[in-house]
Amino acid sequence: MEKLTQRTLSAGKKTAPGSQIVGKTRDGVVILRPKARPKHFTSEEIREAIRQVVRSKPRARKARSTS
Amino acid sequence: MAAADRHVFINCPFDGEYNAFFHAIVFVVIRSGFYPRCALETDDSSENRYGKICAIIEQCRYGIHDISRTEPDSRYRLPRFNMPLELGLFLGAKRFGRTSQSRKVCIVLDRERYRFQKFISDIAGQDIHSHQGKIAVLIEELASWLRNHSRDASVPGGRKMAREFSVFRKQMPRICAARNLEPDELTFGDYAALVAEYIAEVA
Repeated sequence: MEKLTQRTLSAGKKTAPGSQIVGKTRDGVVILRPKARPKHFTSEEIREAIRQVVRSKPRARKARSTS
Repeated sequence: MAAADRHVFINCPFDGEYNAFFHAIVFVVIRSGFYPRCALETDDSSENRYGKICAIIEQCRYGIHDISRTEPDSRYRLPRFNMPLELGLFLGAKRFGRTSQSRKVCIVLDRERYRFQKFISDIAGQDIHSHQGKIAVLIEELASWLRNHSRDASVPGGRKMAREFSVFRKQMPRICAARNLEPDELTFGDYAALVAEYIAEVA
């Protein structure tokens, strides 16, 4: 089996689809691709959804009229 | 540590009441650099469920067993025996299996540390951990246990993971909505993939 060495991540933080590794956190933990596969989306689709949510700023609340 | 040694068998209730705890366990396993595995992988009715569970247990060096659910269920008024059965299978594989099986390690969790002695006293002598029915305590217990076994100093502590999980739980409904899904429609494979991609993106 593949060893979890730095070499497997040499292409950058993200790895190719089908790779055993999803990515690496800023603190250095290698995140492995779960064995159970998703049924309702692909990795790319859920990654895009995560980016949308994480990068979107919460909507500013409308100021209430006090009059 | 080789990838083959990073499979963690999760043995716990899968009902709605325990759902947040189950989600927290999967989050900690992935955040610590391991593969989450459980009986929910066996949703193909053409397969023999018991045989599939045995195969998953055989592939897992580590086991997380939460035996806290002892109450009768509301529908049949009988307790669920799947958790003690799967704990027994895991311990049996370690006891009677070949060399790789004998290296199995597990953590057993209950709500109170010594309560198990009243309903499964044969495992007295095992080190039982208590999560006190609190998700933050569960995360801390699991994070330190997995960090010790991974021997990876980069794996963060349980309190940081608990904070990360809390933020993730708040964002999960919006992430699901972006895919036209409700959180309770996710399969185990969906949830595990979502967590892995989220952690790789955010943490």
